[in-house]
Amino acid sequence: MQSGLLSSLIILPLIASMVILLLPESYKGSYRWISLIVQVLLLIDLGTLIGAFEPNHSGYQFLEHFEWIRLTLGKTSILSIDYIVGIDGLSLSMVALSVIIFFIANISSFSINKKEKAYYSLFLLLTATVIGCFIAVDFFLFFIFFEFMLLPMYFLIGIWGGPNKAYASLKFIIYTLVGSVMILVVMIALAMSNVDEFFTSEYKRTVFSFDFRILSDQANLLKGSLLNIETPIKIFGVNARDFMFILLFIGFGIKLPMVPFHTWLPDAHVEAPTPISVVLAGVLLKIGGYGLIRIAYDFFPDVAIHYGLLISIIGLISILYGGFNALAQKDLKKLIAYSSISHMGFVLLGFGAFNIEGFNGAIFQMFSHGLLSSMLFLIAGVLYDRTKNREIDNFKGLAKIMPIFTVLVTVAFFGSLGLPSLSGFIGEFFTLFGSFQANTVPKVIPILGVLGIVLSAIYLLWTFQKMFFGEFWTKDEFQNNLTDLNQKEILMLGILGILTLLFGIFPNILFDVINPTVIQLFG
Amino acid sequence: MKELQEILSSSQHILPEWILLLGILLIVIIVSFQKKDSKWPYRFSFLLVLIYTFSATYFYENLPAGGLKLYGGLLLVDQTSLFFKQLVAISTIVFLIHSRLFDYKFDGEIYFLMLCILLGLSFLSMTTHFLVIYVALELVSISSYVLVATKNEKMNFEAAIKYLIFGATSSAIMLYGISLFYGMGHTLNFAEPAFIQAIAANTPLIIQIISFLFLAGLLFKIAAAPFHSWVPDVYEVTSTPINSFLSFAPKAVGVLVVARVVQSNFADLNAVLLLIIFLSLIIGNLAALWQTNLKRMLGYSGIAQAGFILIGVLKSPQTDFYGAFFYILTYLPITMGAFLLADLLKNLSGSDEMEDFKGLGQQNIFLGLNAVIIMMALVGLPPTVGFMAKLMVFSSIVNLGEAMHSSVYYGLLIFGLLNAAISIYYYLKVPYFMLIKKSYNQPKYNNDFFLTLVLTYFSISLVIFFLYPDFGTEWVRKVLF
Repeated sequence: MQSGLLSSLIILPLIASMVILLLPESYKGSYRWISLIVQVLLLIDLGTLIGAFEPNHSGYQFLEHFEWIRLTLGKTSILSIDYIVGIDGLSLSMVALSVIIFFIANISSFSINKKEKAYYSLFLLLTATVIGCFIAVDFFLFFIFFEFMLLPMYFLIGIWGGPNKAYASLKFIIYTLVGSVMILVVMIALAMSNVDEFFTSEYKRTVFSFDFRILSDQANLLKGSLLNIETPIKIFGVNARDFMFILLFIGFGIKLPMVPFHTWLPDAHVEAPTPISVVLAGVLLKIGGYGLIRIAYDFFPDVAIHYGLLISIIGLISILYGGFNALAQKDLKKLIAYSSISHMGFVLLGFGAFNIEGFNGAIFQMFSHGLLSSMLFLIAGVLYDRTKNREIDNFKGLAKIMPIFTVLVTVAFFGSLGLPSLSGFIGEFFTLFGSFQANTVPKVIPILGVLGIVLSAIYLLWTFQKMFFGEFWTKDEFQNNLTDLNQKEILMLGILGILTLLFGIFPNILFDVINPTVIQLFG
Repeated sequence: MKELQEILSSSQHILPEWILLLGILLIVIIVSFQKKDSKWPYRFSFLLVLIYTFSATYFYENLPAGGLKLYGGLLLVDQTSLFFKQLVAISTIVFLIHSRLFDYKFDGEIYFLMLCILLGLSFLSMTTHFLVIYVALELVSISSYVLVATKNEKMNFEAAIKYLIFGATSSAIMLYGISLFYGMGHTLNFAEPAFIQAIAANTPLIIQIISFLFLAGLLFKIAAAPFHSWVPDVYEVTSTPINSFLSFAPKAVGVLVVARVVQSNFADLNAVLLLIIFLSLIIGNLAALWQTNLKRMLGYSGIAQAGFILIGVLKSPQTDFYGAFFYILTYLPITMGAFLLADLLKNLSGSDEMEDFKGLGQQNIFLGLNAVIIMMALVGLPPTVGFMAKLMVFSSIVNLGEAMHSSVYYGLLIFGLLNAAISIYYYLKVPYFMLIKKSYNQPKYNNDFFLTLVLTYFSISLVIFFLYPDFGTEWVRKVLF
């Protein structure tokens, strides 16, 4: 059954992006509404998807499959590249997250008044590519979306960013491109090793495939090829499969980001405008985690099991390093950026555990971090919009004059530091739980990981106390600008706050969806 | 008598070259009898190239599988040579259109020289004979030296002298290599079994060194390191349409000859080629990082691209050079589009310096988009055909690595891709200045709608070619050795 529902998630924003590009400058006021309408349509799409999704069914649903390219490689072989989209529990959770976050970010974009035409067409392009990344079931298609995401992001940071935007956007694009190049190596190697039996007999030439379903089945590996399991080929003394897994791990790790490949993130966040920060932290980082599960773990399960300890250690370093760095920050946005690194460390910890609890926890942590970090960046944006300043020391006792703001900040901060009944707790709990369960990981790692929660409690509560409690004080020039939230901001923060609470109290909503996928991964 | 018969019968088979040769003689006459700024040399050469293209495409109907041997093995007409002749002819047409669009007032001699290069490349593309290679290469080289020097400016002379000295040196090295080969092989045709047998008596190292000497002249034309140092200087001062042609045509045919040498399999050239590829990639990319002048930057980028193309020529048991040939096919619209963009930007900003492009893309968003697409194609990012080309080349390395059981090739894979990643830094400078930087002084901006449209044609073709590459890949599949 080809319903076209999933394709519409990509095509709608693409068309809208073109429409905005071609509309004359005199329709300037309508760009934001066109974009918002598209985001609302995507939400409706998402609702239909969730309604029709069968959670107990493992494997991809809503598949759409079109033949696209039959690339002739010399005389004897063909690269078969298809347009295949589909979702399973994992992709559904990520698609849901991205549609929600893009909707929120679109509302937040209303405060952008510079070159709106270019802004909204790039923003919609970004929407299409990010969602495309999550629903692609063909490695080639995935990679195209993954690479193409860089350009809108580069321009969105580079044109609408802060004072140091040129440096930040270039650093972002080079780091990510180096990562994606590593993924490209693996993509080529995988495709050249996996054969589509059906089409091979049909075309009478070897047909190499990029289809996720073929790549994940090791029965399709060509004998004697680079990635075959029986007779391992060595690259620089390392088994080819190990080599490729490490490349993938670094490639997606840069995106995640994991220490030591994280330095692009604070720069990009500090310079990016608020809605782009929201998208970057809320959705783009998750592509790293998604790619690790979908590609690294799914295609190299035999290798991944040996790297549990290494990944756990890197996760732990990310947690602690990010936490300690956050402690030292004076700029609110930088603090949130480092806390992102720390929280994404838990995702790695969950992957490193290599068991069902750990994976469920990691996916939940990605989802919850998507909601919470978006909230945090919106909060930083609220202050920045009013005062053009984000220094923590410049604000004291905000609770007195911004009560609604304070309530929502409480939800976000306590959610981030892992208060039970908010979504942050569930993710951190399950990743640590999984890590304790794992035989390959010494117990000291999750124990030290708990320290990460303590650290986040310290820096978040400290900041909270400094900024919101005590007598109201700011610099004189900000005094009159500091008003409480307007309806738009209440709407954005409110939606996210309610979702955080919802997933914190009823985590099963999400676990029911992702569990079959995770079980299948270990099956 | 028999030889005469063969010469006569062979001569029937090179009709396109006869047409070109007669046309070139006619153009000399036209140039000498017309006034200085007459349009006739242009019109006539356009017509001539069109006729040449059609005759090269449709004249050969039933070519035998191994190709047609003419003049006792001096020339070899096969599908591959026809493919390259067509590409070179198309690039000449693009050159002519380009120079017309931007109102270059070329003297008639320029067209004469261009057609001489075309004739040289045409012969170069259909031979496995050392002597013909040398003569054809000299015809191309000498015409190019004069072409660079024709603009009467001091900088041009400097570049032309540099070009001449480097070119003459590498030709001399090549000739030295050829003479050693002749001494060892007693025949000048490297595809003949007799040559391969005779040469097999020597140690492989010696053959590799001599092959490197022989390749010098070709590498000079391909603009690969270590014979690259003329590129940036010549590119900077030469007229952009000529640049555009020089950046594609000699490179393409040079790669074909290298491929023929590799194909004839008298020596294992992979070690030599790997060295050249590594050098070209690193020198081209690192030097391009620091450039501020767009044309110089494109020059260095051409060196790096030569490295990428040569990856496709590496020999493995089942090599068929599809990577290199497809790369060359896509390189035509990419590089010539890039030079068209360079010329348009120069028209708008009055200079080749990238800093002066500030704000150009903001006033005309479509121009900015075109710049983004063309530069993305040069980096090799999707959704442009540059990505497909890189994918083909790099998938051929994986095949190589599997066949040869050597880690060097995987090292090359990663090294090459990292180079592609680094290259985004300098390619993005163009859209960066056009779209992101604000211009403080209002540039003299005339919205040249028509030229932007032509450029859009290039960039759309780059995207469409990405979405439907089958036409290109099938074409290349038919012309493989």
